[in-house]
Amino acid sequence: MTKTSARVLLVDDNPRGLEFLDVRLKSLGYQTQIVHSGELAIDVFSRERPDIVVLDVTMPEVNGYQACRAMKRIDSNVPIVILTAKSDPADRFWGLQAGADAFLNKPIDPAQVVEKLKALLDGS
Amino acid sequence: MSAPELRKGDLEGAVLALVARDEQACEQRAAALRGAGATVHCALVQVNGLATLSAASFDAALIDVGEEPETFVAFARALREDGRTESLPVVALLSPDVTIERCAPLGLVYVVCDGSGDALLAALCRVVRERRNEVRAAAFGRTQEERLRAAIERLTVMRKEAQSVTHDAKALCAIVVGFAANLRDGIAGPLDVMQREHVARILEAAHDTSALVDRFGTVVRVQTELPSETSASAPPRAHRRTRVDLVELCRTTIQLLSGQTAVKALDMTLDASAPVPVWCDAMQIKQVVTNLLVNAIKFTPRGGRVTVAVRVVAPASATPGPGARQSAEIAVLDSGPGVPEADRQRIFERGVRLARDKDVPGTGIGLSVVREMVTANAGSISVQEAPAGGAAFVVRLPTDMRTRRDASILLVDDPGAARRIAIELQSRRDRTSVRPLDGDGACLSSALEQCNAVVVVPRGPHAGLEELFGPRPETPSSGKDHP
Repeated sequence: MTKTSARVLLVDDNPRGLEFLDVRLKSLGYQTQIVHSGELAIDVFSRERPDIVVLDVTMPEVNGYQACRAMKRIDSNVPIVILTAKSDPADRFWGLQAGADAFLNKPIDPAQVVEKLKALLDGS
Repeated sequence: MSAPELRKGDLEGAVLALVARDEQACEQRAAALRGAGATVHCALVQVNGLATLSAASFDAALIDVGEEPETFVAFARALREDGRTESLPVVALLSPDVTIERCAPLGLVYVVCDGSGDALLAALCRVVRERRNEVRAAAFGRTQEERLRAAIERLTVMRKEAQSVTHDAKALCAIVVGFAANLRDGIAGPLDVMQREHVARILEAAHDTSALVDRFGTVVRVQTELPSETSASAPPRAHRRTRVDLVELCRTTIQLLSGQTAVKALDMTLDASAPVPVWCDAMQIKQVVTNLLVNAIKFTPRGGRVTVAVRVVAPASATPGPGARQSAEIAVLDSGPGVPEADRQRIFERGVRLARDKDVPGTGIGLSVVREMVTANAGSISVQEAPAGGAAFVVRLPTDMRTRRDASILLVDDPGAARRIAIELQSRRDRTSVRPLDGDGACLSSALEQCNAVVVVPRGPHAGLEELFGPRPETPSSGKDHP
């Protein structure tokens, strides 16, 4: 696994939800920031413009689809990965419709998530 | 009208209103009815007739018309037009010398010409029994509806709870999988062989748990699916299409509702001269006709008229193409209050009821279901003003074309082509100008002119309008889990 210093914004209303990914990404040299609401994610995104975003869907107030759409309006070049336990085909459809670059289902091996992030950061 | 099995006790507990011309006639008749077990409230036709009948709840009213039916015409009309008394069964007692023609303006269902006790008792027993059956049936219906609603509520709660539990369980599995994979990959330090084996088993069990939870979620989703939910999210489809004669279908439906029309003394007729074959889901179209007729019966005043006219309508366009197809038309015309012009579109929307109908039982669902079923059978529905001033619901369905040799179908499996065709058809329907099409478009336009029907073959997992026209513009601005 190649080390990288890319800045990753992790969004999940459950404080434990993306902790495993945070630990792994940090160990690989990524700079991570975890936020626990869609609103806060949009705010951080517009101020700090991360290199990539990992986004949960089921969140109160502003859900993942809405946050994704809002962030894509701010900067469509930043890749967004939706990582959710919602596995209905319609969820995938709406996620991609909201502008997400990838839609991954929980539970997933974090190694696969990292591979997807690397591929998106490399532009492939 | 003699009924030997009827006994005096049959009127036991019946609450009757008795309306006569004078007190003497009233008292004589009341005494006989009380002798049969009834509770009788007397009223004089030209003094307190309507006030008495509308002030309390009766099983039936007896009008002692005697030799002068003309005296009772205004009273009978007032009874029919007053919402409090319009459904009250009325028995008219005539002198044997009075002709039935003289009684016609009274608009009454039960008329007894024989003044002897047996005939009158038989008629009263019958209407009281029917009235009580109606009341019991309505109460039973209400109870069943309440039970069903409670069951649906419980089912809905269970479904949401199961969805939530499934989601949360998978999210927890994700944490187990995530950290176990971190251990496996040495993120938290090196592992020996046995530790790696243990972690591998944790990972396997976590994935199995997730699969189990997924299966549970699917079972709950399928088993708790509600018919109303299905129809709300996905309109009904015509499943079993057969060749159906609309005239026969309407005739049998009218017969099925003859009891309801008799209760309100409605004149319901079928106006059709020849069979009208259509290719449709017979059950759905029967439901459509039934709903429209039940509505017509509900809104037409007592003694009114409901006409069902079935015919073939000439093509809208003389040139070849989809517009050149004959349609079958069912028109349900009534002599009720009609539908105001401003409401003629919105009454087909789910849950919409007119303010003036707030005292009439109903849910506002019936007409939306009717429209969905008509649409599922490639038809259309509209409401207009009937020639007599009431409502005219007009359903149009495609006629049965299967035996036509010149029928041709244009198959489209390309979303772009389907979109062009949809725009062109929309333009033709709206009579707006059609934008010139490019080369491919001109080919499509030509193909369109040659065919009687267009079939779009969907492609991909998300085929449908979303694929053809892109994301829906109306996106919810808030709400959990909605895109």
